[in-house]
Amino acid sequence: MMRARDTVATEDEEFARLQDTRDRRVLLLGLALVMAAYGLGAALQTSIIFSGIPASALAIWGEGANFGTRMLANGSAVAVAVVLATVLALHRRRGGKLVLVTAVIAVAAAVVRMGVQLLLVIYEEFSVDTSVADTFVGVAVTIVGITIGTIVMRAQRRARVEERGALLQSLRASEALDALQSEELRVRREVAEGLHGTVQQQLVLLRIRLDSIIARLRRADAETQADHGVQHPESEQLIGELDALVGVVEVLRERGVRELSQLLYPAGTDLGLAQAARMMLRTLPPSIATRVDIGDAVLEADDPSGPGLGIEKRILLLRVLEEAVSNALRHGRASTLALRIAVEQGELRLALDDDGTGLPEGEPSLHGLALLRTRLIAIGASIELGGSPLGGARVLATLPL
Amino acid sequence: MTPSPSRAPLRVAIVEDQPLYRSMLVQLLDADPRTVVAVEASGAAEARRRIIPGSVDVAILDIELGDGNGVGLGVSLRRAAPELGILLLSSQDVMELLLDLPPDVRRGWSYLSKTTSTSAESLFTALEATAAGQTVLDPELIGRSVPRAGSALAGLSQRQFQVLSLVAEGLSNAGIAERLGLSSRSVENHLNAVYSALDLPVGHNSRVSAVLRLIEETSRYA
Repeated sequence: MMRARDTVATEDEEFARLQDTRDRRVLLLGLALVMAAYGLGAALQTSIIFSGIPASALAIWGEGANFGTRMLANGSAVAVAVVLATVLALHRRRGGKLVLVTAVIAVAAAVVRMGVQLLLVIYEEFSVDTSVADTFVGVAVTIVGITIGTIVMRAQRRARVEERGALLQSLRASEALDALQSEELRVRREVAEGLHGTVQQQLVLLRIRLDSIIARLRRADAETQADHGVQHPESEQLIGELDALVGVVEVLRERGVRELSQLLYPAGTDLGLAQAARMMLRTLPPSIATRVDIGDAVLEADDPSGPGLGIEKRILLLRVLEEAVSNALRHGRASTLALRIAVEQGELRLALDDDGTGLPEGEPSLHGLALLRTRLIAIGASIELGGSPLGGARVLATLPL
Repeated sequence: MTPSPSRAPLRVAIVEDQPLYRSMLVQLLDADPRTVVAVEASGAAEARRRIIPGSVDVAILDIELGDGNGVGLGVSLRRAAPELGILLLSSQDVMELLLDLPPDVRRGWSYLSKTTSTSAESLFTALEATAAGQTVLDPELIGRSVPRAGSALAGLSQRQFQVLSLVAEGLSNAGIAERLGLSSRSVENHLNAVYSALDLPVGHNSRVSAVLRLIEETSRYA
């Protein structure tokens, strides 16, 4: 948990830094584009319209035209505005400071533009009125540039914040899901251990007590018979009922508890997929022939000393195997099972073949596997059902590594 | 099997996280002239630190350690000391672990269960055989194993299966002969028949290979 919070903190800082850089870029770009566009327009306008020469290339570049000089002046204004905006960190200013910095930049840009124009002698006749008007225009254009740049910057900033919020939300959701799943695994393991240990033990003790009651009854019965020559009418029946009860306890212990605990947390899960799969198959009756082929690459991919596949994926694959085995034996009446687990083309493949009656006619039915399919898809795995060279069905689960 | 004082005692490392069980093992082994406890550790990390290659003949490793599992520990100890015998102990029947060990360290691992009726004597037998590179399995679990239909093991005669089971208990041919009241020669013949039925070449590793097949080709409903 601690580590997750630290990660989020550094991620926040990282995000703020990134935001700042992007803000500056967007604002400067907006400002420069607006000013440059206006400058270009104004330069063209004065060169063509006010010069009285008909619109032509000559009007712009010809003798007497001052398009180039005007563009130079406008360009200088843009440059000054951009440099000042960078130095004064315009993108970080808010409220009053934003107004002040904007004013400084606008005036500076306009004055520089004016200065360049005066220096290069654009005006045939210098007039104070014209230059003051021109300066005001320069100020106004710069302000418009900054305003548009700021609006675009803020809009983009909001969009980025929202996008990140959504991302964080989904991240938190998946973290919560992970936590939930690991909690589920913890509980499963504990319940399985409890069933295997405590419940099993209690049933063993129960059986021992029942056995001793039966033994005492038998002794008492024998004594009665020796003393009186007759048997208690009900004793035989009682002993019979107790014997049946012992049988029930035994079945409960052997099958019920063991199978429940296996279902919750397959035996050997902590020791790797290979071990747990072998343990599952070893409990099948000896009349079922089994072949197990587990590639060395599987042992590397799922080394229980390292991270391996993780408990969750192991349990899921074991559930697939369990379902496949039970389908083969129950529905397919198979007598031979062949399990193959291998790593091929970066995928872990678990295939169970059987020699049973195969898939039912028509649409292959997945029985309990259908339920597992959804969970497999959720972790990027898949499951296929087909025919087997052994004559029965093949269940193949594929998990990308 | 009687203590043989002529041989130097086996140097044993004990890695077990339950203190009581560990100290009982230490006492048991130290009290017997055949063994001496060289290293005692409560976890995988401590064991890695303290077991120096060449200073131990056989390591008894609990599989469920607090800070890792004994199998991974055994693999790394074995890679550091190729002659080291590994005897795994577990409260759960996980004998199949011996089948899926990394290929470079697959030979000479043994397995005893903490919950079956393993006796002190079977522990000593297992330690000696394991130190000699053999694979020894839990006698009670072998007793519960039934050859699986369709397997090569199922083709063995009852006597052959019995001889193989005793090999798996860590007995020498002489020991098996004594137990079954047969001649050593006859035990050898039975064993050769087992190897040929299992399609194993007669050689140094055939005992171990045959024992592993006993795990692989039997059914065991605990």
